[in-house]
Amino acid sequence: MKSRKDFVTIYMFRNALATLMAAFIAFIISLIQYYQCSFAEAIQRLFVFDIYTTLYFLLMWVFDYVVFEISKIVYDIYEEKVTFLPCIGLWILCICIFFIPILDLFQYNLFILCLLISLRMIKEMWKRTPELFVWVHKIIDKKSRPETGLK
Amino acid sequence: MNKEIKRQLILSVVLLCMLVVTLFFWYDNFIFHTYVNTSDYQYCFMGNNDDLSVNGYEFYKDHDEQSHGGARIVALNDRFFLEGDQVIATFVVKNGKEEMRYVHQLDVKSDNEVLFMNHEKTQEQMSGDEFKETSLEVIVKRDDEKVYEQTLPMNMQQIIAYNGANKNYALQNVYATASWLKTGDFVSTDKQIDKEYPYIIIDYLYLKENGDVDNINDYERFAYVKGKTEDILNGKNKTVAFYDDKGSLLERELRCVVTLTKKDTDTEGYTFMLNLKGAIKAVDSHEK
Repeated sequence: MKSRKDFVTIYMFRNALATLMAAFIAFIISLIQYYQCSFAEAIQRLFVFDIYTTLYFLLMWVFDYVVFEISKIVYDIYEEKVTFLPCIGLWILCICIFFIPILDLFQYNLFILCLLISLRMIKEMWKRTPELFVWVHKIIDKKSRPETGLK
Repeated sequence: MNKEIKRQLILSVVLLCMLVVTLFFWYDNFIFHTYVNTSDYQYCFMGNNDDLSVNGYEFYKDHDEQSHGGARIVALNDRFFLEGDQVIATFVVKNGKEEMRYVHQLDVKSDNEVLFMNHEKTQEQMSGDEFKETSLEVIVKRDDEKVYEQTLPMNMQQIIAYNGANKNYALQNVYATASWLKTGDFVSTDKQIDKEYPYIIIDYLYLKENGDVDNINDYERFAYVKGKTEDILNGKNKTVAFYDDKGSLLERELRCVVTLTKKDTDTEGYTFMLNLKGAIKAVDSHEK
């Protein structure tokens, strides 16, 4: 029981770190693009310059984390029915985000967040429903098979 | 779906809704503080020899206007400038391919006068790479005869952009070098601020040597802007100040006191202080 709790803590920490990076990268790209500045200057603008920017960044991180956790819960509910379709839907959404007229920061953030969710989905599918990846094994087998059976 | 998962899901969705609402209501404030309008470029030069000290020669693009000039010329020897003298100062920029010359004519109105160049509009869009070699040719004419002709090498100075803000008001793009400061843009989240308070005074202060950061009496007022709030919001009323105290201005704590008043003659109104924070150099042109 104790070790399960430890794992939950590690998973939560990992997810928190992943979503933190999503928000961080989105902010940095957006600031660098807007100010045509260096990475160091963007860091300063994010953490030193103004408390309101930093607070919004933290808020966005929490938003990302909650969305990520909801995606996990939804995945667990429909675990047995999950195919590649939701993943493909997320990738299409990733591209469509850039055609929606919103602040580029939100575009980058949602793009990275969707990628993270789809990556986690693929990882879970690989673990729980390996039959979905039969085609991958076939490709790998084909590549590693000798050219003739005599060898 | 078991009860535990259902409970988690409902809780997460409620939390997500709260976060979305907070992000939505904070959006305007976040944009106001994060995506600050910047001058397209700002460069400042200084140079001196045994006779003259020239400081604050600018090339800048601000609110779609490109200008140059604005330097202060100080004679280091007594009676170097005499009443009636004519000074022709030509700023020369060599970028390796061509030579650009910006001529300024100044009349000396009294002996030992400190001269200030006007800002003049320029057609060329400048970038940092173009200032490979810069100098200022100074000719002093007295009774139509050249009495002085020298070329001063001009050095580009490091510029720091300062910003300061509270929740509803911000001062942005205050540019400073070790010995020079250019006042910045005043902006507010309240779009009707110029109707509520038609006049404004912005005092720029620096902390005196060994002064207490928290004691306002230890600050020296060295620049101010006074005028109509509408003009200042539109970036029209800007000024430069020169720092002649010991050390570098960049090492000093900078603060601004903003006073918004209803009448031009009022000295008291809505007053607040903004701490200026600067660590970032002025950005180069956005149009690359």
